Amino acid sequence: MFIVEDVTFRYQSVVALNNVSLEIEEGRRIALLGANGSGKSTLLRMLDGLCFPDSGIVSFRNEILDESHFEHDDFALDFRRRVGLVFQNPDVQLFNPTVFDEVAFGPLQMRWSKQEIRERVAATLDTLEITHLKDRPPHRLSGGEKKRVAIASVLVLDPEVLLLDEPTAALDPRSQSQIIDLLIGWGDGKKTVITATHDLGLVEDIADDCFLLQSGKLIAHGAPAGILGDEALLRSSNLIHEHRHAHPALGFHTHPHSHRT
Amino acid sequence: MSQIHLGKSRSFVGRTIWNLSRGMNFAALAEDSARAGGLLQSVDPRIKVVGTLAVIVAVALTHSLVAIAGAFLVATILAALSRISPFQLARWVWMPVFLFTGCIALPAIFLTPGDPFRAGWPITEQGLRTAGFLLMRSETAVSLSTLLVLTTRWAHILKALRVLRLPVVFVVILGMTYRYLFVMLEIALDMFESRESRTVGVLEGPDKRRLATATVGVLLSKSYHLSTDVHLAMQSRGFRGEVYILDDFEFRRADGAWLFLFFAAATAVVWAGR
Amino acid sequence: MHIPDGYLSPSTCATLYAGATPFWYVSLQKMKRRLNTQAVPLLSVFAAFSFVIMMFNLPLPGGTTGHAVGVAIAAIVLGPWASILAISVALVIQAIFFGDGGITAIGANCFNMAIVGSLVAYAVYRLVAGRTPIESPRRVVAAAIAGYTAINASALLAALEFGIQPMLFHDASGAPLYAPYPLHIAVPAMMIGHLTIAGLAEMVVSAGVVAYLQRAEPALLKTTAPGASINDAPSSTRPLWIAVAVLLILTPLGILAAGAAWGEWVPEDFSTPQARRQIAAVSGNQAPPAQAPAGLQKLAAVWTAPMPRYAPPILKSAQLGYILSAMLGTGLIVLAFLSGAWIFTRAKQ
Repeated sequence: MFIVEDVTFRYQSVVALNNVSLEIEEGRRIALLGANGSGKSTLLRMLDGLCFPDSGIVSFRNEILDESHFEHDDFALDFRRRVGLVFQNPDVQLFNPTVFDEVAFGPLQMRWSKQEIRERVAATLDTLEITHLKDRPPHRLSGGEKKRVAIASVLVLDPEVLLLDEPTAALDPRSQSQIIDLLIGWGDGKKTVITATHDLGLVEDIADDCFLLQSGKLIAHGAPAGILGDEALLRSSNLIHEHRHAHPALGFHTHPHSHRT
Repeated sequence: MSQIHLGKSRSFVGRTIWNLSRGMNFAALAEDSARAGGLLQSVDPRIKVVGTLAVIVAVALTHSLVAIAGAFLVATILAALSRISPFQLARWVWMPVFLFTGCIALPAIFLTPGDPFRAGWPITEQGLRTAGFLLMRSETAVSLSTLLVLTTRWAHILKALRVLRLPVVFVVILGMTYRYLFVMLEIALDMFESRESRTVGVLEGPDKRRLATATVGVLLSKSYHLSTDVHLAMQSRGFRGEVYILDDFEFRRADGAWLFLFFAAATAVVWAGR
Repeated sequence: MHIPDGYLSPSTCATLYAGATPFWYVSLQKMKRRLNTQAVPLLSVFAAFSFVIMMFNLPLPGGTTGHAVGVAIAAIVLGPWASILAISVALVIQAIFFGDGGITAIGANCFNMAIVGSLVAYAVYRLVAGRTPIESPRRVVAAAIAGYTAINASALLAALEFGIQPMLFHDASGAPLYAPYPLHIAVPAMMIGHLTIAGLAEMVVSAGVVAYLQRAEPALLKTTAPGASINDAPSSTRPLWIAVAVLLILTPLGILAAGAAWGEWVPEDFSTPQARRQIAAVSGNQAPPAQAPAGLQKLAAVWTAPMPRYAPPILKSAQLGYILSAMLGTGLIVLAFLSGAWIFTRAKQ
């Protein structure tokens, strides 16, 4: 479905992606693993056609994603409907005065009829259990509520591909598990989900396949069990570290672990 | 959201925090008030927007002090019927306007040429009338616009502005600006509050200025990056440059009566002073 | 400096709305052309930023504090057209939502602060900064001067708008209906506060932010740096000329002033009873001297303006003469400005 061929991307003198090549098949659940700054956010945005490579090719269903292609309305709107991205910072994604307006934004851009928009928005709000928030302005929502609105604003378009950038970042544990349950249940295996995260605890629940990125380079690819079991690999890519702390019974000691956010 | 800040402090940081909090508190009040079940809350937003504008223009045009006072009184009564007490109006509107315009209007009582108010007094009748016009017009106009804002959700006010033939892009920008206002206010408040708690002792002048301008600089930088990210988020959901809004206003018979009342009031105010 | 409702007459407000509209229109066209889809989020977030800045209490040299509008910062970082729109949006929200500034006065406030402020700040900044590189300290000085000049230009305009109110608008009894202070009080009163505190605040924040950006994020200063050009096709400035034309046609409003503008008297006026009464009315009820002062008589003879009383003898209609004089006057000012700019550019090469 997605083919990334030898892609390099520079942002303000930093090489964000360095000759990355990978392929993602339809219907798979993928995790892009990497510490902050590894390039996974950039890759996600590239898969969503929001930025384009300096060299190399990104294609979706054999259509090349480049600037000139996106100048055509039909292609652009069709792509935007099929592929949805949930940003890490919900404030970036909630730019409308109310929750209802926010979820209706995508459908409005697609020029659906008003009747259809109202129906679909109501249904999506219901699925995410946020109907009671529909007239709220975004700044009066909690972190977990904002995340659900952000997801709703993308799901309302019924996309085939869902891209998520650190979906559980800055959420309290209860909201985190709600989001994870939602993601596990979504799509029934027919949709493609690509999640970028550095939270290793998530991976086994939400992905069948992992790509590990470090400093813009793809350094590993495989099933979650394999990658998560390779301590040396995880340590060298800053996903876990040695940490000295106290266990009440055993005294001070050192062992490797990751911080689950 | 930071809610309570008691009184102003002497430092510029403290006073800025006070200003920022006050803005947020007013916005919170407006949102809660617009949702309360009062008289004006139930009127169609388009009628309220057009009607309020008509009365404000009438108050600006009229030559009759009595008419302006009448409009002020009616506004206060309508506010009370819409669950907005005179104390709230006094706190948010009447006192600030009185302090500002009152100071400006006061010298006019003595300086305006004309017939003396009482024999031997330095106050002229014309001076009193002029000060009266200035103060009353100001108080009444702000009371009316505040009444609109306290009885109508901002999102609805914006959509109602379309009835004045304002371009959609303008309405969308106003909505987005309002939305990000709170993001900016929070960021600014956080920056200042953390300074306030970390500063030991008194800062010297140049350091204070550097602190203030650095805060502005950081805020500007964050604004720019936020706007580029928002742009990406908008494009991700299909934004191609055209903006659209979905409104759901329904015109009912009671609204027709309100429209008539607003315009009758506006006409009366202007007519009284011709 | 936000003008509330009731300070300016509806006709003054309408004129300023009319004056602001072509600038808003041109700014929006230019924004769409240059930034396309990014205009909406950029303007919105920057308007929010501008709004918040206006709430800051800024510490000034000497121990006082003041508020700034941030118009120079906006013009330097965004360019003049985006600055006009961003600050206008901030002012609109302040007026409607927070009651800070009148609804009828939105046109006036936007014209004074957003439009004239942005254009003056931009022009002064580019003039003083010249072709120096982004990191140059001269840009900090340029920003300071730009901020100071822009805010005082805005204040002067506001003072002029206030000052003509009592002359033009009063009720049957002679009481001014709107701002009650004539020019000779309004101008000094407004300018004193702005030449000192507000101007200083604007200066401090403009210079400080440019200095900060030079260190932290120089890319944000690119829009108004050497090599950047905001010059577009001449046809897109047509709305501006339309605006000037509209303002010229409205100048006969000045004719409506009962009697001559303060200070614009000829020696003969001191002998005519009707003129004497008018002079007294606009001078705080002070009776004018029985005869024109000797100095005035001498000077009056020196320069008999080519267009005495603004109306060339050939034209009978006072309004037409007024408009022609205004056009000639504006033309001379524009010519002087363009010549100055041309000379300055030549001197730099």
